[in-house]
Amino acid sequence: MSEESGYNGSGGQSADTSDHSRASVENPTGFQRTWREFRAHPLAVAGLAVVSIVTIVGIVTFLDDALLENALIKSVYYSPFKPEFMPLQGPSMAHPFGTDTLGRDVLARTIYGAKVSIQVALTAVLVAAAIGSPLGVIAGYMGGYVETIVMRTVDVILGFPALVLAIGLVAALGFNLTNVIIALGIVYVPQFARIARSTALSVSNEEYVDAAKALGYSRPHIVFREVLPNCISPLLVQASLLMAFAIIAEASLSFLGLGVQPPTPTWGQMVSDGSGYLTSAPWISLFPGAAIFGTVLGFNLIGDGLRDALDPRESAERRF
Amino acid sequence: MVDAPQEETSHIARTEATDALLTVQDLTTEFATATGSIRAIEDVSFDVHPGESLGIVGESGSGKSVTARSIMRLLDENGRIANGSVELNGRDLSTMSEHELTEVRGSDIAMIFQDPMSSLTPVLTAGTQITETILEHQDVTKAQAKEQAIDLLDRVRIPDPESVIDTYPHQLSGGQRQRVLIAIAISCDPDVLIADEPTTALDVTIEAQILDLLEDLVNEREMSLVQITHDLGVVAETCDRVAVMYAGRIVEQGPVSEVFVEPRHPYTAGLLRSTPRIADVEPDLLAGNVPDPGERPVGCNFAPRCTHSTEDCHAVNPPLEPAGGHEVACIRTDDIGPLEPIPAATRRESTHQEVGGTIVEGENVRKEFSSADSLLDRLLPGGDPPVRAVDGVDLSLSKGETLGLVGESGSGKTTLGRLLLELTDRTSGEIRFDGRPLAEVPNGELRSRIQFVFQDPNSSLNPRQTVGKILRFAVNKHEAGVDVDERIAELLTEVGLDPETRYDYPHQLSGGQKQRVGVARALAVDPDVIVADEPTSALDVSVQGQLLDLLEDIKRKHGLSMVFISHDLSVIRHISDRVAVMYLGRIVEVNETADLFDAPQHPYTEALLSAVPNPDPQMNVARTVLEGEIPDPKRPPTGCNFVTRCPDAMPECERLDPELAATDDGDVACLLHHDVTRSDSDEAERSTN
Repeated sequence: MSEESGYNGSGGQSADTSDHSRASVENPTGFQRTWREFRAHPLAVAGLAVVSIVTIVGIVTFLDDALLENALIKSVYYSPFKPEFMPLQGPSMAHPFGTDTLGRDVLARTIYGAKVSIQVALTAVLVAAAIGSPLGVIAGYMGGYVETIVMRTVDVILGFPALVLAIGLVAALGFNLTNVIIALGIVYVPQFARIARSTALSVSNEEYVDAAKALGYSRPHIVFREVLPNCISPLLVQASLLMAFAIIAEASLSFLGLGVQPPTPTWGQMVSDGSGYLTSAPWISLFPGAAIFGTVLGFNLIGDGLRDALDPRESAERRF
Repeated sequence: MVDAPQEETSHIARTEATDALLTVQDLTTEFATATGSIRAIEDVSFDVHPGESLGIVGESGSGKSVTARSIMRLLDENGRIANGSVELNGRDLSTMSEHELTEVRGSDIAMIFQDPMSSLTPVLTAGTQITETILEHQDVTKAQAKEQAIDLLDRVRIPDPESVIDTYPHQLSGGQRQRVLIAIAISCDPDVLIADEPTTALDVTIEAQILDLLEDLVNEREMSLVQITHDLGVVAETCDRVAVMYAGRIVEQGPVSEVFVEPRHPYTAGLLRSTPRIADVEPDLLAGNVPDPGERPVGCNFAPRCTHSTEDCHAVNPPLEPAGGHEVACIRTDDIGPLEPIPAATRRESTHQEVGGTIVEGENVRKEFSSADSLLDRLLPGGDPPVRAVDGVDLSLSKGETLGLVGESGSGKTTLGRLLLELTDRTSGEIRFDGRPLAEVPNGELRSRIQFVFQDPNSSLNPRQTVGKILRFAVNKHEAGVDVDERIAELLTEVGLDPETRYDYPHQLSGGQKQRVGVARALAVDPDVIVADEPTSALDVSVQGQLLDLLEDIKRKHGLSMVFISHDLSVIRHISDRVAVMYLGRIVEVNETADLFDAPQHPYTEALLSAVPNPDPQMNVARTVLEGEIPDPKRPPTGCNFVTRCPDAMPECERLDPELAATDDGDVACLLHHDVTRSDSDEAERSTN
C-alpha cells in the first residue's frame, strides 16, 4: 500500500493517462484519494494557491507583529502603522499601492490586513461548522422533539439580521478580535444547522442507515459515521461561502468600530476608510478590496473542488 | 409531412432494396469519455417490417438502449453515430438535420421510455402534454386536439378519460402514467414505435395489461414495434422477431419461435437457461459478467465466458451470418449446432434438509402509517385515514426454511420484512423470536441473530466507506477478540469476492458485487435469520442467478432461515420452500412452493402466476389479465380486499372479509374455499384503531 501511494505521490499524472484502467487504481487512503481528485481541478488548485499565500502572509505578519515588533516588515519595506509619508499619493514605484489619508503605505497595510482577515474567516467558520453541523445532523436524523428544539432555536437566531446580532454580541462581550470571532461563529451556526438537517433528512432514508440500525450500531455511530460524512459536500460549499461573508462581516464590524481597533489594519477597515475618497484616491479602497475579492474567490474555488474531491462517486465515473 | 409523389418514389426504391420499414445498417455509436472514445454499440444491423414487432434483448451494458437512442438520435452530448445508417421509409435519420428530425420524431417514429415517473412533466396536465404533441405535428384546433386526446386516452384504456385529461402526473399511478406516455407516442400515428423497457418499472399484473395494450395497438394500427427489454419472457410473449445483444453487438437474430426454441449462439442459450422460470426446472448459471464497453476483449466479446470457445474465438470478431433459419454471430455455429434453451435438470425439491422448530412468529401484526404527523393533525377530526401497510398478518418461519413473500408494490411485503427486524415500529400485534416476544429479546441479541439484505445495491452501502470499513464495523460490533482482517477476508471469500475488494469503494463495484458485499455484511454477525428484500431485482438475469445460488449455498451451509421478499414469482419459485402471497397488507395464501405454483387456490395467486411472462414461446397459454389496479390502502374495499379486481367475485365477497384459514390445499383467505371470516372482535379492534 505505502509503495503504491508513494508511486502515486511522485508520478500523479500517470493516473490520468489514457492507459489508466480500473485494475491500476490502487487503493489509497481517504486523504490521498481526495488530494488526487482535488488536484484534477485546476481552478481549485489555483484557489488553494491564493488562500495558501494569504494564509502564509497572515502567519508571517502575525509572528512579525507579536514577536518582532514589526522589525521584519520594516527591514524590507515600510511600517504599516506609522504615518511616514505624504498622504493620498497615487501608486508609484516607491508606493506600489499608494498611501492612505494619513500617509501610511497601503501595500504594507494590505499585507498586514491578511492576518486579521484570515484569522476571522477560518476560526469563525470553523466554530460555526463545529457547532452547527452536528446539531443539524442530529436534528435531521432523530426528528421529533430533538429536531423541534434545535431547529426552532436556530430559527430564533436566524430571525435577527446576521450583522445586527453580531453587533449585539460583540457589544455585550467587549470589543476585540476574539469576541468578533465568537460572535460571527454563533451568527453562522444556523447556516450550517439548516443545511446539515435537510441533508441528513434525505441521507437518513438511505438503506445503509437502515443496515446500520439492523446491525445494532449505536446512535452516535450512525449519526457521526454513517450520516454526517454523507452530508459533508453541501456543508463544505457553505463553509467556503461563509468564509467570504466572514471577511466582509469583520470589515463591517471594524467599520463600526466594534472589531479590531485602529491602527491595526484590516482589509475591511481599509476599504471603509477609503470609501470617502473613491473618486479622488480610489487606490486606498481598491487594493484591500481586491485582496478581499481574491481571497473570497479562492475560498469558493476550494469549496467547489473539495465538494467534488470528497465524493468518491465523482471519481472513476462510469457514465455512458 | 412528406408530400405524396416523393413518398411514392421512395416507397418504390425501398421495395426494390428491401421491404423493410426501418432499416438499421452497421450502426456504430461512440461516446467520448475522459479516457478516450468508447464504442457502446458496433455494427448493429436489423430490419423492421411493417406491422412487425422486434424485441431487442440483452443485459445491462449490452447497448440495447443506446441502439434505441441512436435510432431516435437522442444521444447524450458526448455520444455520436460513428458509422452506419438508420433508414426510415427510405430517409436516412442518421444524417438528418435537427430541424428535419423534429418533423420525423413523433409523427413517423415515436418512443416510450422506461420510467413513467420521470418521463412526464409534473407541472402540466396529462391532457396538455398529449395535445402539445398533436398540435406540434398536425394542423388542428385546440378543441380538436383535446377531442383527439380524450379519444387516445380511451384507446390506451384509461377509465374515465374526460376527467383524467385534467389531472397532473402525480395524481396518476405508474401504470396510468405509462398509458399516458403511450397515448402521447401514438398520438400522431407513427409508423414505428420504440419502447425502451416500457414495463420494467411496473408490477406484473400492470405489466400484463400494458403488454396486452401494446400488442393490440400494433395489430390495430399496423404499427411496427421495437421493444427493448432485459426480460426474455416479455419478448417471447409479445414479439415476432428478436435480436439478442451482447456487449454492443447483435449475437443472434431471428424469429422468436426459432431463436428461443433452438438458440444457436451460446450466449442466447446461456441467457435462456439462466432465467429463473415458473416451470419445474432449475436455472443453469451463466458465469461471469458483461464486460464494460471500454474493456471488451479482442475477438468474440462472449469468448471469455463461453464454454464452447477455442483459440480462434479470441482472434476474430465473428460477423452475423445466416444459420439454421436465423442469423448468428459465432464462428463455431456449425460445430456447436442448435442448443437447448431449457436446462435439463429438474428442480431440486425441498432444498432444506430438515426444518426445525419455529424461529420467527408473527401474530396479527399491523402497521399503519399516518399522514397526520403533527399533534394538531392528530387532535383535529377529519383528515386522511392511516395507510394500513400491514393489516393483521400471521406468519411463521421455521428454522432452516426459506419463506418467500411475494406481492406487488403496495402489498406491504417490505414493511412486513422491516417489522420483523424492528426497523419499523409495529402498530399492534406480536412478533416472537425464538419463542420470546421481541420486547423481551435484548437489542444486541436481536441484531446479531436476524439480519437484512437490502434491495438497492446503490443505496445499501455507505458511499464514503470502503468495503473493508463497512465489514469492519459489523465484525467489531458483534465478535470481539477475532482477527478482524482475517474475518473480513473470510467473509469476502465466502460471498465470492476477492479479499482485495476490501479496499474498494462501493461505486467501484458492479451491482452484483455490491449485493454480495451486502450479503457479507449481513453474514458478519453470524445471524440465524436473514430477511432479504428484493436482493436481485436490480440485477441482470445472469448476475441474479449467481446471487440466488450464493444465498442458497450460504443458507444451507450456515443452516440459516430466510425470508425472501420479491415481486418476481420466478425468483420466488427458485429459492423458497414455502410461499406467502400478500395483497393490500394481508397474506391471502400460504403454501409449500410446489403446491402453490402447481395449484394456486386464491384467485389473486392464480392471476399473478398467469401474468408472469414465460420465456418459452411454445408455452403460450391464455392469461388471466387482472383489470384495474391495487386499491388505495387508505381506503381498502369493504369485504374481501381483492373483491374489486377478482374475476371470481361473488356477491358475499363485498360483505364478508375472509380470514386466512387452513384448507386441504394450504392456507388461503378466500370465500371460494371456506367461510371463515375475520371475527367480530377483530373488526371491533379495527374500528377503534
